[in-house]
Amino acid sequence: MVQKITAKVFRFDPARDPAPYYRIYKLPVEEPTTVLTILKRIHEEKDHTLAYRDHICYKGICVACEARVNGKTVRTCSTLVKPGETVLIEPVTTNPVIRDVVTDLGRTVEREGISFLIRRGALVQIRKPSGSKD
Amino acid sequence: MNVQTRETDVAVIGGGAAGLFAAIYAAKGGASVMLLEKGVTGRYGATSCALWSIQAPFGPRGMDARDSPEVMFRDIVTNGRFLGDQNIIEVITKTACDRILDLESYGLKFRKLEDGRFYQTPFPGQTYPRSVFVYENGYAMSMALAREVQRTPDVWVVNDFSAFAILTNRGRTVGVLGLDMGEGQPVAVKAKATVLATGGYTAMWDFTDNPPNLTGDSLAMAYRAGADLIDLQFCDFYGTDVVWPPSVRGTVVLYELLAEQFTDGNLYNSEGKAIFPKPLPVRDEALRMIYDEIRKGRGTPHGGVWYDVTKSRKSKAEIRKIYEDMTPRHYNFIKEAAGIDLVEKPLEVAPATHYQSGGVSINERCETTLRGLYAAGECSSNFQGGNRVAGMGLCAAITLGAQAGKHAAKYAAKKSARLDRTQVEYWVKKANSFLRPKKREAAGHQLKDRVRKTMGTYMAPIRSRRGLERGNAEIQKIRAKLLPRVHVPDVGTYNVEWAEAIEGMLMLETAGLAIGCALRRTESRGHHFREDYPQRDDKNWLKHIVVKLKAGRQSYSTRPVIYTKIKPPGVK
Repeated sequence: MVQKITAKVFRFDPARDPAPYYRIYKLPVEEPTTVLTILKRIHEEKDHTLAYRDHICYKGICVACEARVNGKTVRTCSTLVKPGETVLIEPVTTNPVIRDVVTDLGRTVEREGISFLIRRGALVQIRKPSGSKD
Repeated sequence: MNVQTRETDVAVIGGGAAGLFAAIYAAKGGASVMLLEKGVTGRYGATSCALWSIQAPFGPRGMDARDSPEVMFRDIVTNGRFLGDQNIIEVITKTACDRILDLESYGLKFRKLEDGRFYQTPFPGQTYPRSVFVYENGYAMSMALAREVQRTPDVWVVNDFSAFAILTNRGRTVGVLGLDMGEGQPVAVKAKATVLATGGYTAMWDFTDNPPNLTGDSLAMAYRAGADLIDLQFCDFYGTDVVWPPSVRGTVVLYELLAEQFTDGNLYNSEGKAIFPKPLPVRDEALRMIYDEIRKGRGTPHGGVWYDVTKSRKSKAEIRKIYEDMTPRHYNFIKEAAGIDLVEKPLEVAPATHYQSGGVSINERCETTLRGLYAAGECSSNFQGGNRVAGMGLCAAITLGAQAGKHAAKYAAKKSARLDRTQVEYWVKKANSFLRPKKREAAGHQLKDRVRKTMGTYMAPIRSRRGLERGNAEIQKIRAKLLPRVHVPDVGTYNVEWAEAIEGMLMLETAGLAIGCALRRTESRGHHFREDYPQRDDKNWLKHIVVKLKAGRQSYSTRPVIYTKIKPPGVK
């Protein structure tokens, strides 16, 4: 039976938006669906402007897909959401936000003689999510 | 037009094992290096997804004293079906152990025996057990290399940088142009030498066990810049990747672990008949057995075969221990993301694209045919021949990565680079054209989906002239009808659609070339199987297919395989 997953997704462009905001998307699904697949489907079917990291290592180890789901930091590739459920998806709080749920996982730029890590984007204070499960 | 430009001696494209080794060795050679990674260095790419197996002929320092670089050389040559260039295979086999010791010095942990020798597993295609065992698999390896790069002075890492054009001036490589996702615009990198280390083109198919960003960008870039590409028909498939459920689609379950000394399980068709003989076949033969069952209508509900260890004579506890010991991450991932314990329940598996054996043509110094352009690892070719054996993907990445870095630094020390502004502007305009509104707009990912569907249908493990010609026509149609309609929103930083549109544009080019090579190879060998030419034809086809850009068109030719030590049977 087709049911809907309701995803409430954090949106923010540090360069253009005065403050973060949330968008709600409803996706029809038949099977339990991973949060990574939910983000991919929102991007492809609902909103091309959504930024997310489309990477999977098939073993839940690379953490490129990490995000806060219902207030908890998880690997989105292996976190399942059941049909009918509501889910809150936000960026991890440990890295600066580049845009939406994409954070800077370590970026270096040129500097005389040494390589070093600079933080891009903005560190965002995420308010305690309403209706979160934990 | 004002295009942001950065400058370096050596630009390395790709942050997997090949690119990271190239960066380290180029810096050792005295060059300043800029490493340009599409995603996040160490985390993205095929290396981080890889398993733990790297071939290294340690001989007395490993499991079997009889093993040596010479034995390994023979194994690669014969299992590559005599299509690997032996000058390159010599470099790989001679330097493999040294690179493993490098990795150890960078802090990577290998499984060892009590007396300190390397633990090595036997895989099909290895005369003696030769695959060393990396704890926490390819991910630990790419992270150890990324940390070493962080410690290396003169290497600057730029993440979230999608390279899309190799810049040339008067027949020499002078740099790279790419979409800097963090900046939200195209950025040029001026470099005296450039190393391609972008991995494979496996994500050009609709079913792959590789991450979705492995779209073979090097191939289209090198081709456009004028370099020779070689044997693009050889995409290696892996026989047993999960097709169902969708949450774990593409996950590798090792068929090698079905061997008698491991789980002693098997693959079964819909009639309950076991598919594999024991000892297990090598990859190209295994693939054909599986694909044949599926094509003959004896597949599972979702178009695969059953990977089943429940009928094994070994106990569940014994089998579970093997998966927990050998592939704990994959085993747990399938449990977590799909709720399936493969020890208890059979899984539906099918062949997926796994590795690109063809690629940018290189010599033993990893030089391409374009001056100043180097290539290493999966995107370079052809040393695997028509069939790569287990443990050779990472092995080629580490050995050739270092080799490319070393020689690129030497070259860069003698040269200077000057950008051709007209060329930079041409490519920037091309990228920016996606931002312009169109009539009947299409999205960037739609372009990629269409190419993937075409490749999945017509460049499947079993091919025919008619199918390939249809595929070619489909690619032409996508280029003429869909590409001009692709529009991406102007959202500033991290524009996923823009990156996808550019990737799609490159994929279209590469797909056309791969189909062209497959059409011209009128025989069956390794992972290229032609229904209309089912026999291996050593009389006519012990040679490479080469394609390059000539006067704006694809130009195909052949060149002999380089035999330095072992000639194929019957060849003088």
